Amino acid sequence: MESGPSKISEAIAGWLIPPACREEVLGDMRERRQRSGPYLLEAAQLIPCVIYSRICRTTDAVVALAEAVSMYTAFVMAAWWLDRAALLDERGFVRLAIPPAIFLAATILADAYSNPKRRWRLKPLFGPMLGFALAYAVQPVLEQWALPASVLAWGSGISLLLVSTLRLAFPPIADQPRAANAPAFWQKLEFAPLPFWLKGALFPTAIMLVVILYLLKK
Amino acid sequence: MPESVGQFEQIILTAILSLRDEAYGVTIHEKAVQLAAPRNISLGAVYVTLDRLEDKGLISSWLSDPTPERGGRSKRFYRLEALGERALEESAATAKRVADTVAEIWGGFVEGVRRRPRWNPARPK
Repeated sequence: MESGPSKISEAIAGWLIPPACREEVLGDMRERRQRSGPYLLEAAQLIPCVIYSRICRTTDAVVALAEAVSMYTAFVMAAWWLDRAALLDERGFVRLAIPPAIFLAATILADAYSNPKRRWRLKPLFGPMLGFALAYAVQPVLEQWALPASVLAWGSGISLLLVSTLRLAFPPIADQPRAANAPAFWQKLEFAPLPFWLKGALFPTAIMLVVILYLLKK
Repeated sequence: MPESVGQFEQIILTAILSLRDEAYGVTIHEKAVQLAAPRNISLGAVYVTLDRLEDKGLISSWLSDPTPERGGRSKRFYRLEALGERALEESAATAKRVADTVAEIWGGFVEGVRRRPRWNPARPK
């Protein structure tokens, strides 16, 4: 009789582990744990670390920040033009942040779970499309936190356009060609320190923005 | 100047160095547990650190052929790169200087516990 954990427990673990590291992680777990109980227990401890590590490898912080800012701006602009009351009510700005957050989470997870062996031209757009679908799917669950349909439609459309452009210009790290032994570290964009004049200008600008919003609300 | 490494990264690099051609997830974890005793180390933390070290260019990896005892799955083997060797050399030298200085003041360690103090400066009044 073949020893090892049950096929179901291996299938569950295999489904949860990102494809890029599935082979070696499943092999290591199989070598260490021969029974299903300890195997699943180890999988529960191990898989969050593996996902976290994969996210660190596939997500470029600068590009993710640019995506987040552009999506949020798109939703704020859509609310400004179409339904100003939705923007200026008590939780307007928080409500507008929910769809971009779902978009971003879906995009980051889609990158982490993408299979580096499979390449196709529009692959960088899969994450935003998934985020778009998810943002729509969760709207009925959000109830009073849900956005008006027109704001959601325009915000999502513009976000999709902006994020797709960003991702085609800066493809996810996992999809970029890697030379032998060339570390992905060198391919990542680094945060450049802000120049002094820009740091000085940021604070007054933020105060002015708050004052303008307060006056508009009045 | 080589990349500076933390204590845990130093343990993982040392484990890879000592295992030579047999350095893959399970063996690296076992060796790291020995090196870090009495602290416990999870396999997940080892994977996270291995990925980070590979991104820094300190180690490189490749997949072996599948083996039946692993359910027909491959092992990912790791080896130190020149940059990793330099980083480990530098951090080991720093650790040695720290250990020597502490031993000089405390008179060394017996099974990880500090011995009686040989030198105890008076507090400034």
